[in-house]
Amino acid sequence: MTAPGQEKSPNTFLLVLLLAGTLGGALALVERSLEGRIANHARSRLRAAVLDVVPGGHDSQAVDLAGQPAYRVIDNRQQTVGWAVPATTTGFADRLELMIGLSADGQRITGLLVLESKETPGLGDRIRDPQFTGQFVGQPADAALQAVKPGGSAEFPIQAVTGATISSRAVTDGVRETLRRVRAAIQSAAESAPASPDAREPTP
Amino acid sequence: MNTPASLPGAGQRFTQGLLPENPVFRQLLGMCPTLAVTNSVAGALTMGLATGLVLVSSNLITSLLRRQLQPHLRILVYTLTIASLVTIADRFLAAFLPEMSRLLGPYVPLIIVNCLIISRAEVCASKQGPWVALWDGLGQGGGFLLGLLAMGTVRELLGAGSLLGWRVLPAAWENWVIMVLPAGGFLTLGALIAVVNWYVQRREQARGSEPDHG
Repeated sequence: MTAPGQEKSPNTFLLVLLLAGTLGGALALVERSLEGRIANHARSRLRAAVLDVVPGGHDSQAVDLAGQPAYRVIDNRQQTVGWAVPATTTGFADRLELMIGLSADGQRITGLLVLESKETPGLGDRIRDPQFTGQFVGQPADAALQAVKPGGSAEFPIQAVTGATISSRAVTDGVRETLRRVRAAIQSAAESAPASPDAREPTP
Repeated sequence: MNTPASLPGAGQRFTQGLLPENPVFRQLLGMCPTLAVTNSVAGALTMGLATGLVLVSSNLITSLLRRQLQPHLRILVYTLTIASLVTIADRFLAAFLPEMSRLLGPYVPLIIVNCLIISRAEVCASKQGPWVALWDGLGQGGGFLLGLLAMGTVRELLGAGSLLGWRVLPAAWENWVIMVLPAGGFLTLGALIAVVNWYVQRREQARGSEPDHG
């Protein structure tokens, strides 16, 4: 395009400017058209987790429990059937993200889900298995839960995954400590929120 | 548009990329995704396709701009092009394959620094026309995909007894957990490179002193 000896820099400047403008525009276009869809995936993942840890739920509302974000799970008559509390803790490899389900009165654990874990596949990663998380279901929210190795004992024992004591302990401690922080707030919220009659008293 | 006589044409560029110059087994390029995301066939397939798509697009853009590229400017143009293409690919994955996107995590954005892509821009696309650059991208991208798939197949089969999530080995099979861990990536890569080297050497011996032209 340029004759030998001619000044080349304006041409170069224009090329970089054009390329940056075109690619930047393409990026903006892609982001604009996909951001809604991407945000939707994150929302539906969270929603599925919340409804997974509290049985009988139909929908959920975000609430604030003394500075801790949580979700009030309601049935299709707008009655509270339970609470879902996100928790984070430090595992063996990286941060663990958990979702804890609580009954409407905030007294019992109804479910536990490991949302995010980079623990070793085949070892620590097995904290995701229902075999492990199922042990939390039905435990009192104020229990001094403790991960134990086979043969160990505690007042409220959670059997650690074989070969993954650190990961198991991280989950157990995370659940116990998070519940200790939010228990009072949940109980006062539970008293003010209309609980589902099914959850409070047995139907005749 | 004339291809300099010394540079290979479209057909040769394509076949060279598949095995004789396979990015994974012969050039040892792009080792980060090769080791990190090949513990399942699905992960390897997604990573291979995403990288291949970026490589072909980057080759085309670089080739079209090759006459304007000046030595001091070319790395900037490559980086700008590749980074934008990878970001677009990453957003598409997040929007349409959210689970896969979460599984691959940071390794999709890391395609930006995959030296395979910049090396093809430098070796081929900045010197040859779009037609040759297209086939070069398809060959090298295809070779990379084949490499990742070979790794993923061995690791998922031995490490989880399954392929693409489908159980293929009998229930009595005891999973070799090490194969899905990082160490399994190194073991598999070493074994597969040995197999490919053995195959290439045997073929060269069979041809005598003839030079290898794919």
